[in-house]
Amino acid sequence: MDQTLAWSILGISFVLAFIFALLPIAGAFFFRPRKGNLSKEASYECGLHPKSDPRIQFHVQYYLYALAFLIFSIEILYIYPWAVNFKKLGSVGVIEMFVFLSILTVGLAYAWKKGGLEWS
Amino acid sequence: MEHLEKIFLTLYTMGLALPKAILPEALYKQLETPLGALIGLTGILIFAPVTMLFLTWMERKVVARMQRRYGPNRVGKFGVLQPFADGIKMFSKEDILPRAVDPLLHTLAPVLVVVPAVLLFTVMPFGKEMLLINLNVATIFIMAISSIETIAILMAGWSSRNTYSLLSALRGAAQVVSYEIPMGFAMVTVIMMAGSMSTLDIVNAQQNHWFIATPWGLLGFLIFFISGVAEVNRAPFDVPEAESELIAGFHTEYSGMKFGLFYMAEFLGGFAISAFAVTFFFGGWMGPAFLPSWVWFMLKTYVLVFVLFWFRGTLPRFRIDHLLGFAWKYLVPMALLNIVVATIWYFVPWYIGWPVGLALILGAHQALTAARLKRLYKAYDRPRNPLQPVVVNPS
Amino acid sequence: MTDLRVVNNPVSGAPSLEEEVRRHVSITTFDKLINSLSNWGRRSSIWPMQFGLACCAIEMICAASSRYDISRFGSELFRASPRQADLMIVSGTVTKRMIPMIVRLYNQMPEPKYVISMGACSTGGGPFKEGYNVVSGIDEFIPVDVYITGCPPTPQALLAGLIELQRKIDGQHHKDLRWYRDDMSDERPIPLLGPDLVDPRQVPEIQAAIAAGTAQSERPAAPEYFPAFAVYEPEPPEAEEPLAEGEVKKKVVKKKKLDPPKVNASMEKILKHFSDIQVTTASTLLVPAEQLHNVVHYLQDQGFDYLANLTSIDFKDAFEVIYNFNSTTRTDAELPPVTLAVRTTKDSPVVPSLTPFWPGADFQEREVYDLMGVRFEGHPNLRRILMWDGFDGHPLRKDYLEPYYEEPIKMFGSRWREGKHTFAESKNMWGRNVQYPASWDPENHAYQDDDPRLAAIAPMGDYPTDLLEMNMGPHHPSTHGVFRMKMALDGERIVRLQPIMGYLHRNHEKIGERNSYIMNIPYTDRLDYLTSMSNNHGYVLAVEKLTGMEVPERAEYIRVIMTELTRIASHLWGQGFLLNDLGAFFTPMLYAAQERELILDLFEMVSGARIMCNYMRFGGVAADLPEAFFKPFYHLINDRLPRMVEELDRFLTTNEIVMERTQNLGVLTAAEATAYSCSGPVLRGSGVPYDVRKAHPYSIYDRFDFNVVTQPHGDVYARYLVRIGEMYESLKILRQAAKDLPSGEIIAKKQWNMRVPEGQVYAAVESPKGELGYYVVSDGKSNPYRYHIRSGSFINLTALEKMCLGHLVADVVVVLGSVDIVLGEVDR
Repeated sequence: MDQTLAWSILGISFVLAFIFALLPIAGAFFFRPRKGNLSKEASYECGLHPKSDPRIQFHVQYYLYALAFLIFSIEILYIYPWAVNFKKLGSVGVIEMFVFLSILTVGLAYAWKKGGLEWS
Repeated sequence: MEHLEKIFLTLYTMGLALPKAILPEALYKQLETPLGALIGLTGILIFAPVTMLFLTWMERKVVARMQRRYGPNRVGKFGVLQPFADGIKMFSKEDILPRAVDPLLHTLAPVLVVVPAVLLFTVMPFGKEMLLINLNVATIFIMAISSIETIAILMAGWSSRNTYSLLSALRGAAQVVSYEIPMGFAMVTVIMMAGSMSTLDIVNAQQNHWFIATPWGLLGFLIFFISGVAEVNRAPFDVPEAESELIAGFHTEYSGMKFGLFYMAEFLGGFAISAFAVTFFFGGWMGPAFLPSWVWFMLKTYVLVFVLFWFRGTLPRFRIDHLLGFAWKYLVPMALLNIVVATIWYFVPWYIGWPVGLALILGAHQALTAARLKRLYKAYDRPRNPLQPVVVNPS
Repeated sequence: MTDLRVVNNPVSGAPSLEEEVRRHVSITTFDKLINSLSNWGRRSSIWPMQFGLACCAIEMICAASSRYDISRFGSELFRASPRQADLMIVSGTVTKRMIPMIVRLYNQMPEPKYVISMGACSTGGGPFKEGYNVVSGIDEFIPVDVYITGCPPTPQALLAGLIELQRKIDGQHHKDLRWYRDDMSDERPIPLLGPDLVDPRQVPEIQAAIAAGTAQSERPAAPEYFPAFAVYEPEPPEAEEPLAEGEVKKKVVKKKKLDPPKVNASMEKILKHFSDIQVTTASTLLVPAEQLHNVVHYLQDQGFDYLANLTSIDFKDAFEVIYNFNSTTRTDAELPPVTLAVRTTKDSPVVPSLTPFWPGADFQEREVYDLMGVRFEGHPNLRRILMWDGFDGHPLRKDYLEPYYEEPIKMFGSRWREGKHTFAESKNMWGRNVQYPASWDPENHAYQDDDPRLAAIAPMGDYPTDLLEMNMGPHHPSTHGVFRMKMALDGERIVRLQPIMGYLHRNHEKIGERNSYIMNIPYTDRLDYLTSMSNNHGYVLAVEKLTGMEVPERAEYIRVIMTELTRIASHLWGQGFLLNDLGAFFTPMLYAAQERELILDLFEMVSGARIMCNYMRFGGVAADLPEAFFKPFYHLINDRLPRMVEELDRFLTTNEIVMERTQNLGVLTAAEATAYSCSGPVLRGSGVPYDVRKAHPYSIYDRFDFNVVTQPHGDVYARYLVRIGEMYESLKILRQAAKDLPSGEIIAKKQWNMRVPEGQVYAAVESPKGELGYYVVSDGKSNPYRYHIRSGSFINLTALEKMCLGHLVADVVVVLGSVDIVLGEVDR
């Protein structure tokens, strides 16, 4: 399949999928009751009157995982082209990739050792 | 079964018949592929909600049977109309937009969570010649698209401005990004062996033997499937919508059809993960010729979908730190090892590849888990049943 | 011409023309189609809100179990968030403290929404309607679609209610529906918690009344007081002639001579050591307030490490605070239990706090402060615990009279229909008869429920971030009822946790003081509504101890059989819910519930009720075991239960997720557990072999061969293992009891309205949740003067914060699940 065509179909799919997801909401728009009031539109807090705002400066732990993800995610993108050509590149490619992977493993081991993967 | 395939074909040709009749031949020749694709796309957009409806019914029935119950059986035979009743009800349900929320993001999030789930279907090879788009970078596309879900969850949680939603969104984001890594690494081995990132080529590469029949395929499948379950937030990895802690998680503030869309995305995601696991490791639509290819694909997929429901019916939930630890300290190292195993497998004959691969995998598994297991089984004096079964009635 | 109205041709029997047309042409309009379709959707997909208040909630959960299976109607998707629910099942007693939350939850549900009022309490206040914290009927606050009768209604009744609701939905037409009409709102006014429950719509009226000085209506006179137990002074020996039982009553009425107090060895020792301590006629040691800490020091040195009970009595001239002490390490023979009493004045009641010695005194002292108004000097956080801050009055004082106060003792005149058709309780809420203190300002009314200490914590760590305040409850899927935990989170880690209770405070003790002795038995059923047999047992033991009643042999065996069956049922339920809290999607819980159903069948056979058995009587039990009881009973204890408990054990105990999540979680060392006055599996999970059945043998437990199951680690897993082990031990006892069950009488003497001799007694049983004690004071009348319940669940919660600090949000629900509380017993 021609890749330009593939991507353009994908673009159309994206638009159609978006419309597809909007349809139920739009459909419900015609049937649903509208009965807003102050008490109903208050945030749910186990039946209590909401007091605190949850939008606070949040704990750093979640972002550490995001950082680790960023690094590894990019590495995966490097590995994919190698993987596609793995059979063609032969042993040289294997050795090169293994050097790369071992650096990655050392990185993982370092993060592990440093407690970067611990939930604190 | 033959009939069904014929019906598909007839519909397909019928769809193309109209433009063929009205368009000049040269133009039609040019447009045949995209028009065909559009018809296929329409098919997918019909298939997706039907699948979702069926899956909700199936889950309720399967879990009910696991809990020694009947499950829905009042509407239609075996309660098959239950999802339709739910759907109709949701249509007529009020849609509450709490005052604290960000209205735009709040409305956009459920839409954005469904879009990637549907888009995944476009690169899914349902059967022989039943692939809508043969993308040359399909695997990267799958990874990229499925991570949109993270953004949708974050949007839902953040815009709701609710403690539970926000906490759940952060959890969800941390979880999805963490499990993307082992999932990506698990796909590397498949790409290595197939020599392509296209889903079509990957299935075709399994002509002779399915990838699951190799040590790296076995491990790769396990990593892929487990990560996939985590990606779509299903049990036992459903920490973002952990009902026992965070009410309904990121969709606590959603009502009516918007909530219905989250529900839909969860089931479509579960189906997609099973379908891609089948594509990558179970030979996709390959199978003995007495059944049509798409039947084989659906059969295999539904077996995995059943496993998903099985998980839900039986396993307790992970805790967020165990869950992330499991991803980073077990799945990622094992997935890295899997690349080594796959490389060895390629260079040596199978009778060496199997024992060496298995030895490597089991050794690494042992090294990674032994300490933990030892800790878990430490000196707890577990009660033993002191009672012998008595048959005699004392009276 | 053919008459179209003729249904059938009378001659040929052929259908009429109209019939013919109907058969072949489906006559409908778009309007009708839409209507029937949407009604069909709504009726077939009723998702209830996961919302349980009290006992009825247990039956609601049972309706989801395999025997009843609400999922057949498509209603098994209990939604935790009101935003996604269609149906609110008000299942249980609605308290004043809870009603604002219920109304707010109702308001937050999207239209179309329906309400089922399940059970007597939510329909009309039920047995608790005279309580000062109970509203008589949810329908005064939110519109109810279907009422279900019963106390509690069986699961079948709930299903019948659901079918009735479906029928109601079938009859809807979209033109008259509330939610499509502009002139009808679904918003209900949310009541305020002021001095009592206040209707927000009445605020101007109340303000005017306060300004005019008419906010205080006249109150009836307080009931008669009992003068405190006299200090015992030995009388000349001729007075100490032994008396037969019949004479005791006469003697009490005349108030002349009393039996000498029973002074045991440890009391003698204390009396010898402290010169200013006296013995009362009720066998308590009267300690001057300033001496209390010294005496307690001395007691600790003697080996009394367990503060079993702390409560208070309102006498004529003094408040008396009562302390019951025990030892977890020594037997009764070595170190008999001691009861201390401290008297304080009625004007400014102050007693030194025992929290420095026993942190377990914390909640109990707060309870005394809340309900009796006695202040504890040195208590770190002396605030109301069961009622809300701002509530007017201390309800357990004898002179506290509710707005609808009728008479000091039942039966109330309004319950007899002698031309008097107004029920006093209907004045209960929205009352214009509430007493508003002159200082109360409804405009600036702020209902404060939060611990001020919560705000004072600073975030920690290298990268300090804001603390997240998070509420769990009162409406929450895993708080096992209407319990609330307010937490401060650093990330997901808990730096502060404050348990808030009282949302199910049903005024058990106040009602108990107005009931006659026997009328309290059905009320005890509703304490811990999973273990009604054990609750009965504790109460009848207390009264029997006071009256010195003998219990026939067969009745004792039946009691043991019933309480041990209860223990298994309760532990099954508790373990199932622990797994639910761990996130297992109902499966283990429903398997456990299935076995529990079989035990409930046995209860139903002997008592006629599934969970509210009301089975035991003073001096015996209400009914003998029926013939049909034995076959299923033998099958259960010999075959089925051992197998099923082992199956549960096999599947869950070594599940890696369970182990990983429960080990080293919520650790309580043995010393801590004792100091916090924990009891039951929580205490034994910390390695303290204290089981009331062995430590202070009651009934006939000394005849059976069984072990006290302990685990040294003190974590959630240990508590889980203790419960599994206890189920095996209970089965062991059951087999022995079944083998030795003698024949004979089941009750000593039928009594209807008996009088109990003057005195006080503390009797405890080992309930599945912990030590369940009844402290009863009698003034010789037909109703208890003071009736207090030492509840295991309530006191175990004192240690909750200690167990949860430093763990994650997800762990809190697991720790709470491992404590295994039942809100009926916590809030009483």
